[in-house]
Order: sequence, then C-alpha cells, then structure tokens
Amino acid sequence: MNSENTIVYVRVAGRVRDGFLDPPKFHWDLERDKSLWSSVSKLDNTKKTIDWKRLSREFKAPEHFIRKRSYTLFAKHLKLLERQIEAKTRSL
Amino acid sequence: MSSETNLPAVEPFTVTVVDRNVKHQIENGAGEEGHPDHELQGVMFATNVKYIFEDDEEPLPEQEDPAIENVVIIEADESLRVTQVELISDQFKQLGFEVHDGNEVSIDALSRFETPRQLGSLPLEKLVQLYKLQNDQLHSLFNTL
Repeated sequence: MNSENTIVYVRVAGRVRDGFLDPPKFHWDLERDKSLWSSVSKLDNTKKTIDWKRLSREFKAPEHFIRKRSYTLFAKHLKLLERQIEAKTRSL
Repeated sequence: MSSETNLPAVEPFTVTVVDRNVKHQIENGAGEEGHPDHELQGVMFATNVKYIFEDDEEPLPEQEDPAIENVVIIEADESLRVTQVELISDQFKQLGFEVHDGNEVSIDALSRFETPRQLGSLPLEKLVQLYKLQNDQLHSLFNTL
C-alpha cells in the first residue's frame, strides 16, 4: 500500500471547497519514516528551531506532513518513556 | 449558501494503515535502536488524498485508474469530525480505526495470513503466542462480517 496503488477520498459534508487545494500526492514509506525519525530525534541542541522547510525539501514531502509525522513520533516516544519510568519507579 | 466563518479551516488529513499480520513480527530484524513505531514492518502511508466537498457541485473524479488497488473513504462532518472510515481492498481487511488530533487517521488492517518458512525456526513459545494472536485476529475479522 503506497501513494501509487492507494487513493484516499475525504468526503466533507455540508461544506464548499472555499479555495482549498488538494495537497499533491507524494511518496512515504517505513524507510523514510525511519530516516525522518533519526533526523529529528538527533537534532543537536544548539539549534533552537527545526528547519521544517529544509526537511520538507529533503524528504520531498509537504511540510504539514513532516511536522505531523514528527509530532506523532515524538508523542509516542514520550509516552513510551513515561510508561517505562512509571514501571521503574513502581519497582523501587 | 455562503461559507460560514466559524467553521475550522480544512487541515490536510494524514492516513496510516497498519497491517497487523504476524508475518511482520517474524521478518522483523529488531535489535537496532529505533522508534517503537518502526519495530513492526507493517506500517504504511496512504499519501494520495483527494477531497470531495459535498456542497460543491464538482464532478466526482471517476476515472478508473488501473493502478489503484486500495481505496479509503473517510467521511467527515462540516466541522471535519470523522464519522466513518472504510477501506476497500482485496489485499487488506480493515479491523478498526482511530482518529487522533489534527485529522490523523490510523487504520488497523490485516493482510492475508501466510505460513512463511522461517516460522519453523522460531521457538515454540513464540509460535504459541503467534497462534493465539492469529486467533484473536480471526475473531476480529468475523466480527466485521
């Protein structure tokens, strides 16, 4: 399942397009997701902000997608850490 | 009808489909330090997303693309709350779905069960665990009939 053999239709009830443009299709897979994670999880601390535009160019994917994917990956990782810390403190 | 101002702007949807087939647990070459999302090989991204606004009189894009094997239909109300998600595919059956903040849709799916040869080289405990898991998945499949 990928951008070539799969299509998603989002049917929005009771609304008009109102200038909204369908985002262009792009390719994303597990490999890219892994390299995105290694990119954003290893950003060095001296830089205060993430250059989303650069990442978007580098990964050939829209910025909104790169931001959302990174957010999700971070959120899940933090949740996992939280659970591990809880488990550890309980066993103390 | 004039567009109402209090409706939220359309934020693009992201759609991930996770194949829960146990074969991904077997293929998994684990070990390297990574993200929990990447331990299973079954995560896929549907990044070809078209929007249909029901109040618009746009013609539906009905060209039949022979390359398309899977179709996902997401129904949303006017405030973009997802009301239904449906996966139409011969290769994957939908078990369920979740919607997260920011129009993120995650679909749990199942591809055809297989009996890979590597299976024989797994420890019995693992095989029993996989067998139980497949039973649960069969159960979920039956419930979707």
